[in-house]
Amino acid sequence: MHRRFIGFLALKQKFIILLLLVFAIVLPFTIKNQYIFRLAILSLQWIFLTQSLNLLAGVLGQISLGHIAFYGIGAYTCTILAKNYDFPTWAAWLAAIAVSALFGFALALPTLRLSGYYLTIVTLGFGEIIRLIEINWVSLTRGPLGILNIPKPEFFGYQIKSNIQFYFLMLIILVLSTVLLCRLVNSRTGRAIVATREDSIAAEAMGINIFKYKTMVFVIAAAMAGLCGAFFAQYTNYIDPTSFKSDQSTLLIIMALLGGMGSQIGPFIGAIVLTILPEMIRELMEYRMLLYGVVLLLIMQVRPDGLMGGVNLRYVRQKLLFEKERSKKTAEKGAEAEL
Amino acid sequence: MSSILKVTGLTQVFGGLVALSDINMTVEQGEILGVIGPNGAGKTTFFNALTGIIPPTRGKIELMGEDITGIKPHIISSKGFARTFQNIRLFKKMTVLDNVMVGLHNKTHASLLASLLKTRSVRKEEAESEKKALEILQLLDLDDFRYELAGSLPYGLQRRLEIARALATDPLILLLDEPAAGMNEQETEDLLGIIQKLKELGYTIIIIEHDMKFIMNICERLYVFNHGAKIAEGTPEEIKKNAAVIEAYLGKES
Repeated sequence: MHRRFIGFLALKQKFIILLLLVFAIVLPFTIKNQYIFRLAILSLQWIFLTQSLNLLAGVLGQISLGHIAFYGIGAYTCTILAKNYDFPTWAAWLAAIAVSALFGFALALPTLRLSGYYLTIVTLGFGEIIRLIEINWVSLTRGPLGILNIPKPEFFGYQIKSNIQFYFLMLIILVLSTVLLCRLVNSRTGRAIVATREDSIAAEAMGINIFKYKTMVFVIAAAMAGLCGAFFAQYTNYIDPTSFKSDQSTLLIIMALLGGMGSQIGPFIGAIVLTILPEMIRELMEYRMLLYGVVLLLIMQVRPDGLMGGVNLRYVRQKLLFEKERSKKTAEKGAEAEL
Repeated sequence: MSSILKVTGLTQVFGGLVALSDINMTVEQGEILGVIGPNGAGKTTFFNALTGIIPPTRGKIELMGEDITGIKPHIISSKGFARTFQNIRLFKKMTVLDNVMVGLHNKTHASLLASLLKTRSVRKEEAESEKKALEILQLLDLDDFRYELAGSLPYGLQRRLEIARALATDPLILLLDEPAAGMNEQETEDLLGIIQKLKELGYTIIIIEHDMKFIMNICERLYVFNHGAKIAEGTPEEIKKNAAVIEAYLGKES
């Protein structure tokens, strides 16, 4: 059943993407409820954030438990520059991307030779350090009080204020990131990254500079999370260190795992399900972590790689088309032989 | 014939263990050279030293007259060494075709930015490398499996795919680490045919192997290692009669 579904997805890819895109464009015009609107925007935002972690943890295979730190760095950089120094939005966003990327680079360098648990522990520590800085550097971040009244984004005179504008801003970012990530994964660079994950010694023997590609992915993933943080800060109007706690990082990993590590559809499924599901059962909020645990256990039992884990739609599509063509050829040959 | 590889005084020490001591070797263009020896003789260590995976403690490796001792594995690969591994190391979740295209990494140049923009030159390069990869797969009779995941191939084909991937790097010297290990008779025979074909194409190959029939059949010259030292070198006929080799394999006559 799963196999046939994946095959269907792979062959009708363009049609399905078009359908989803139309749905995503029409959706905001049908929402009247502010709360649902907020959920829709948060879903898009979490998809984007999961994509960035998926690139690092799924495609490169370096599991990070501190990824939310880059999101926090982006949020604080953008907020401080836009609020205290009156940076125009584009400049604040670029700065948020650049500063997060820089921290990504700084984290990549000492961890290049680490992998598995060792790397995970270091990233966990990194996330905590950043959070503690956010709490304790009061003169810069106002610590636990948080920063209020963050200016709304404005691009060349066009101010983003309403929910619908924020929704489309995030949708545009997400469509762009999805297209670019697909291109990345299916390029020379992407093959080098996946090869590094699959077997770093063999990758080196094939002439791949694994340190270069590991650093590159760390920087890109951090930059994406930073951009997401900048959006989040200006959208919610208020940030404080509780938004960037380690359980947010854990939630992010669970989203990536549920959807399927390394898959380009995975983040969509994982992030949407885990943004909306907890809201639907708000009365059980105290049991939320328990629920995550149960969901994870079930997934690990049924599909250990996550729902779409280990599925590369491009591969499936290539294989199906190739087999179709081959069986057509043999059928033609058979017909000729009969004649 | 000119020598393309010259190894002098290669020594590898791990703590107190001398894994390789003072190995000298010259390899001529186009020859097939065998390296044999009992388990733990240092054969794979020798390959690891050549390809830079574990740089040697002492000694010198010259490829086409250029000193490549101790430089990083990915640079050594671009200088012209390609290898397969004793315990297969394929990119299991990638397709057969993509495995070979990874081997083309240093023959292609698309940058990250150009790939993201999908410029015309990138698309052209991708099409060309796919064509090149398919040619290599055809050479090794693997093209029917091009879209299968490497990890799903049967064992014998996985070994063959490792050779295909190594060929994609366009090597000066191909290092095969026990290519026939674990193969059945039919698979071994197919492999023999492939190596024969590669020889005709002019490849220079160094093979580590335990299957004596296999190696005596294919190699013109053999090096015999024991306890990290070279104990004999010569044609298969000479090696068969060599007293030191017989002793290493069968023990001393009492």
